[in-house]
Amino acid sequence: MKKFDVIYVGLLLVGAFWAFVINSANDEPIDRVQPCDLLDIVSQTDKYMTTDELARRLMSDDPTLALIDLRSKTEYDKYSLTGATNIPLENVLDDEYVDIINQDIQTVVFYGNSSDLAAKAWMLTKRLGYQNSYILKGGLNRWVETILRPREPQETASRVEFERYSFRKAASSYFGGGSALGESTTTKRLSAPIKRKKKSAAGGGCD
Amino acid sequence: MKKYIIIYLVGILALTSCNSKESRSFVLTPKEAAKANSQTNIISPQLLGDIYYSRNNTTIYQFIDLRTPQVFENGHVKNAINIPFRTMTRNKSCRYFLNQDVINIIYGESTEQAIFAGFFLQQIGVKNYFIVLGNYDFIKDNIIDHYNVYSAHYNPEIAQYDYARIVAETAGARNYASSPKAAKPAATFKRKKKSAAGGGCD
Amino acid sequence: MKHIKLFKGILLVFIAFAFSSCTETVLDSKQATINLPQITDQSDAIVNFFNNSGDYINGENSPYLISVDEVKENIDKYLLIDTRYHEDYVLGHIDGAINVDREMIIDFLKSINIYQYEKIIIIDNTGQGSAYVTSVLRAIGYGSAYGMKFGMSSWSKVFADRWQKNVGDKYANYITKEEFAKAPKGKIPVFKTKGQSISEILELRAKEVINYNFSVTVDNLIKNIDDYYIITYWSKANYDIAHLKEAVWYQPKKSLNINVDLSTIPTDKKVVIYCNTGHRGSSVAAYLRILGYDAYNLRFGVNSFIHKEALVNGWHAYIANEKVNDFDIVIGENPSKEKKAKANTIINPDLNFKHREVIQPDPSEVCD
Repeated sequence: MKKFDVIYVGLLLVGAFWAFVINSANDEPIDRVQPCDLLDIVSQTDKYMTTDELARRLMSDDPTLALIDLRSKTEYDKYSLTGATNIPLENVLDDEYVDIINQDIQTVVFYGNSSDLAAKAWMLTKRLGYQNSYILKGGLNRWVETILRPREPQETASRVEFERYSFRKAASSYFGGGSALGESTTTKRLSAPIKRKKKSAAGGGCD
Repeated sequence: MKKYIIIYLVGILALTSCNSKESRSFVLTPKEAAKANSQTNIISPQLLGDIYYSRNNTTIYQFIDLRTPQVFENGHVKNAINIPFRTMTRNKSCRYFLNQDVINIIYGESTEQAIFAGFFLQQIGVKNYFIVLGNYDFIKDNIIDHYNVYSAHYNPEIAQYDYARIVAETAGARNYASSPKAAKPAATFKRKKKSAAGGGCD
Repeated sequence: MKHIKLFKGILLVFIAFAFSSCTETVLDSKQATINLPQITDQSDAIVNFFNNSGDYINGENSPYLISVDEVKENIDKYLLIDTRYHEDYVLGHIDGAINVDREMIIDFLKSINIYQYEKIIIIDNTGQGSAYVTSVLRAIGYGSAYGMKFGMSSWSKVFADRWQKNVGDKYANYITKEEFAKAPKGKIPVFKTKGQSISEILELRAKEVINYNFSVTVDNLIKNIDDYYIITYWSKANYDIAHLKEAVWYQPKKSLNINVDLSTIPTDKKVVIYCNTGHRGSSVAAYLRILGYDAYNLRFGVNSFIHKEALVNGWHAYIANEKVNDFDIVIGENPSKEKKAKANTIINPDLNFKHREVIQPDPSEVCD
């Protein structure tokens, strides 16, 4: 009987080791979740940062914000948000950027013209188990509509809406007038990124 | 006792690792996924309309609705099947996505949801699908109830505004000289008076 | 001991299960392409398509017109397309309007991001050409297209004579109260294009008809009256008061559906539609032309031959004082005073653009 026990335990250990070797032999970032778990994470996790929230944090000079502009360099050069780093979506997992994307001190906010690119980048970070990343809901288009060109609410609107409107108007004059041009801010680097500690267990498989 | 424990453990392992979920793993590595072409599996409104209005003649196109069953009940594309986003990988649902005899047209409650679903399928190596940007309301308003495939706002990832100019125009443009682009089209579209405008109708 | 063997057996089965079910089969998924089956009966397909896709010509807001006042108020949100001859355009146009020939309009619209504009306004001299082009555009999927009512003749007094001079009572003796029956139901016209799908067929049809000279003057109509099947396109009550001899009544926003009376329109005759001012007639003519009918609009509607009768009965008789405004115009080649085309600045007033428009009062009776 003991032989069997040993064989089984041995098999398991070898299997686990093998899996580990296979995963870490690759220079790719390691998948932290299985496909089926990814869907649960995507549908359950808090994904979005609203433009209002972003404006609020930018206006208070929040040092923990890491803005990632996922559009092409050309578009980024025309205009982007203050302090944003330009990482086109296809390069977002390149080694040189891993310290920006994968860390749990700063809040990473992805954006493009809309939410599409950001949704993809965000999904990848979740696949790799990175924390603290968000999608700017509606992207720059929504940024223009809500922050730069806020619409006055109807007279019958609630007080909350009026308060939001007055905030947006203030934000509009804060961000307007060329203060947020891409060119002038590209030099600004993110404060030293802090490496995220590797987590021990690779999370239960689900396939 | 030990044997029982071992048997129990292995049994659990076998069950947990394979129960109820389709055993698919990622085909694309994260880096490959980031670099994958994102446009090939997006369907245009015109094609969507063409498929919708010629569907009686063909069964190859399968609409898949990712919204919750409750919302699905309140209205959906005719003959669409309901696979809520979270259940996409369940064995039952997975069949539909892996079925290579049909082309799946996927829509959800928002553009992002459709993109998540499409990007997910791309990562596990499924290619025979198209996603609909916008959402069900978009299809209903601009394809089914009215045919409005050209005017309807479809690809949100296009810049809607000249951002730099708007920033410049907002609240006292300091330090920024706006450089409006030169006027373009006119020339090629001009209409010349025809010789005999015979009872012209304008 | 037997128990233990049994357990071993179960154990092996478990392991076998674990490995076998977790070994995934390689999925051979090919990039999907869309190949739609050839549409054999194109005319039938398009008629049914119109019926199933909201039946735009019989829609609540058909014929999709917009007043000059509304255009003036929202000038920054709209894309203004001036379809007049270039000579007229140079004489004066609305600030920002771009001069585009009728036959170029579809290509032009494809070249820009039109959903950035809340509405696309089609402009001409009298409003009838606008209604025609608008109807063609609506048919092929431009749901934000609107025709400017009464055209530039209503915008500026400079162009007021384009309408004013066509108003008259020349054929007041040609009207009757006698009712004429619709022709019996028959076939719909047959056409064939190179298009493969609904959208391709629609576009080819649209390009074929969009520049057609679709209007007929009342003089020409009376001269060749036997060539025409005349449709009076307004309410039955108005039809009963007076209509052109031989004219048949069709109910606006209802009759021209395949399931109602569309097939009573003869395919071997010219068809002329008239209403109050020629707007709706033009809109309907465009729809019928796309379907393959030889359809025309009676220019300026009843205003062109029984203006007094129209005044008495309240049939949208043209009264210059009510219609003509004196809004600003820009003279010369440039679309805008600021020497830049407004249409080139990217503006988007509403991201969640919806098809539905403001509902007008009692639409079935309104005949423009």
